[in-house]
Amino acid sequence: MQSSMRARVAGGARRAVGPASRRLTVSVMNSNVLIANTKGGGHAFIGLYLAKELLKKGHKVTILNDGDADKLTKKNPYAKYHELERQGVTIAWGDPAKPSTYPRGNFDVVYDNNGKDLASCQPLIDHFKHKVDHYVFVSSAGAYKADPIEPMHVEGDARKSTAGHVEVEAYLEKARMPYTVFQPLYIYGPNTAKDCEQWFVDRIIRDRPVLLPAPGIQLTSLTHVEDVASMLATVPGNRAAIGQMYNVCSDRCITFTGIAKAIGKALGKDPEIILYSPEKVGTGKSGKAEGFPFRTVHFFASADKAKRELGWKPKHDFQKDVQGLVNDYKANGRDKKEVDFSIDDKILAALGKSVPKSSSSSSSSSSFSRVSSSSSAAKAEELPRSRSSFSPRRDLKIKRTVLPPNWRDSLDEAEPASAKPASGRSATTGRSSSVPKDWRSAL
Amino acid sequence: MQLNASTRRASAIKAGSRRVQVKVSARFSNWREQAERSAPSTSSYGSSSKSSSGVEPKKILMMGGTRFIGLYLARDLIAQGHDVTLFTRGKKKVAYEIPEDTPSSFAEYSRKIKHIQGDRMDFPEVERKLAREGFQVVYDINGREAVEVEPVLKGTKSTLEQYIYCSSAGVYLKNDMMPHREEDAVDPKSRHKGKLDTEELLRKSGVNFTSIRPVYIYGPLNYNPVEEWFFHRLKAGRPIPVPGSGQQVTQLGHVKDLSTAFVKVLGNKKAARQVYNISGERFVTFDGIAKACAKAMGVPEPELIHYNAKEFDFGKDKAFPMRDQHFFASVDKAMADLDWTPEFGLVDGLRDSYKKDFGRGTFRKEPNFKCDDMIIEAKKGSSFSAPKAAAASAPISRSSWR
Repeated sequence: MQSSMRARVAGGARRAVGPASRRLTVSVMNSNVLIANTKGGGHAFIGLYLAKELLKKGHKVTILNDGDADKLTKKNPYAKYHELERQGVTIAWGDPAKPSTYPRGNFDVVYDNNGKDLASCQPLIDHFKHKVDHYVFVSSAGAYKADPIEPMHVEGDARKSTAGHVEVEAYLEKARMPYTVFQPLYIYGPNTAKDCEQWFVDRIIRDRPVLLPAPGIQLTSLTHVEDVASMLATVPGNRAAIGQMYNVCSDRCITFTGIAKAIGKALGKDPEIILYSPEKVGTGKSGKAEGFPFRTVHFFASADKAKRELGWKPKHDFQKDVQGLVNDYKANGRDKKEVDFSIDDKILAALGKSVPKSSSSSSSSSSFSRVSSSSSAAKAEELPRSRSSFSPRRDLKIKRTVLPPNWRDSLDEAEPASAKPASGRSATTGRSSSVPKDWRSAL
Repeated sequence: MQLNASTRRASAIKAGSRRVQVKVSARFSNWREQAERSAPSTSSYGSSSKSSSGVEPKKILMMGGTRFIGLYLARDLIAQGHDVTLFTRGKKKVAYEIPEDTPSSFAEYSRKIKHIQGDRMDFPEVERKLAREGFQVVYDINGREAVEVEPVLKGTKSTLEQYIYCSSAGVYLKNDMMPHREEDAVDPKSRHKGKLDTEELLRKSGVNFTSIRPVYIYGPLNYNPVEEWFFHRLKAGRPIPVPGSGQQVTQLGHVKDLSTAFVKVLGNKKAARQVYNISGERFVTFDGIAKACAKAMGVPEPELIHYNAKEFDFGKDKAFPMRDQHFFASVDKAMADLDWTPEFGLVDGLRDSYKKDFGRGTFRKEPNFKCDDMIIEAKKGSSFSAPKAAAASAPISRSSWR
């Protein structure tokens, strides 16, 4: 309490604790920080790591997490919150849009790692308007307008005027808040709520082709969450950051094929890379491709401003981290999990290529298991009926795939190893024992 | 030099008593040149930002200096007050007017620039001619192989303070992670192996060296057809064939920014035994260069034709002026250590090059549309009639452009 008061008086200046020998000059002044954290998506684990980083610097941290505690704490990153609690972080569950749910306290610094548009951000901003030394908005570099001539995003470049984040930034400016805006790109690391490089591992580890939107040389920034957290944590006490926007990314970017190759190397495999045009196969357009985790255009930014003004430096390098990421993937048992490759198969079929008998590294038992990934299952509904290239079961418009991906194996033992091209309806010659007659009841 | 003293005195008086009216003395004979140099003038060699380096004048040897980079660098150094000698074979005039010059700046340059005639490949001759000259700084602009550097080092051994070498970012090993940074792995099999060997030799020799690695250099009088290649096609109204997707990312650096960086290395302690990437601050796609050149010329956006280079056999001809890969480097280190910032953005720089060179009707290489026509024919078949398709493979005569 006293420290936060002193902090306010001193204008939020902080000094880390010096070595014991300099006891006389030490005064620990820490900020009281509130992090409003989101309930999912790529930014979800920023709260976890930022809290850890702030703790290291001696600040007092409270997390207000959006969402339902019971549901969310079952998965990462929220499952790791108990570690934070042990270290003295206060975890509150509420709704950043409802000030009545906000935790009590005189906060010096507020981080909004939740809202993506003015509707979700405004309550928090208005509540803390004249009460904080520093207000941090975790925005997104996706709000930059893509520039096909000079693709690297630099602070100050044109933003998409319709982006929700841009509205919030304008509001912060108008409200004359002491704000800092951070714009991350893609983030990877342990405990994430949203896959990043895992999409590549899913395919390479199962010896499936990696389907990349052509030309495959698109550059993308991948940043380790610890680097993101360390940049965000430079804010408390740093008045020079007020009124500024910073890109949050590693100082290196990597091509799609580069990601595939790095992961292949870490797995000891040579990935089969197939390039395709999302427009031509009908799975996407203008920067997006169905089933692909990244924007299909160059998406990388300059980290110079943060390096110069915040004294920040990235410690991680994707190519160096990739072995650890792959090991984590395996340690979490993801190599044994079923993955929905329906979109990959759809694309392969559209390209006239053979759809591989998916070889998951574990021998799938004859019992059914619901496919884990739900996002692509939802998309299966959108498949046009005219595409006869799909397996017969899809024509029956089953909403969720209940067959194991290697169901073809069980069809006909004499079937040649190379699957017939799926353009015509392949004759399904009777059932075999691995497909129980009452499979419909499992729907 | 003298003017500095008087302004110092003047400002001292000013600080002491505000009632005293301070007049800068006009007594010195060279005050006109000084004023010219310090005032923003028509010639770029007069900008004040360049004449305030604070480094004492040095006796500088430049290997080369009559082709491209050296033209600008020598002028910058002389404008800074240094004593500059060019070492060339003498095939080109030592001092000739370039678009950047004003009559007075050129007059001063040609008066002050010195020359040693010689063939740098004749190593004993080099050593002999440099001995006892007392050069303190060497700018090695045209060195290719390590052996070429040894005689220069030997010839300047007793007085050499700094050896500044123009290397190339082409030495970096191709990598999926970009941009290239100075600490990255280099490619021992690259076409620029000689540059690598030279850097290695300089490192081993223990001399205070700095190596500069530019990416693609452009600007007026560029002898490498980088922007010129695009300008030819834009002027002829031809479509521009770009290999692959056109999404390859590269980087162009204006020669004047490069020259400024070279000047900032001089006498800079942070630069001792360091390597710096020098180029523009932003990166650009292949498609982007075509569009930027069109903007610089003030012509509408060109038609771009993308092709798979592997489907063609162009023989010895180059179908595109750049390497077909991502090729760009971070210039953060130079910006931090040398307090250097590139002044030219891409379109501004291309405009500068167009205004002062191609736009005046001057260029180095006649256009060769042989490869273009092969690509156009393959992509569009005989139904496509390229402008002046009748003269398909013959180079277009100059009169047909106007």
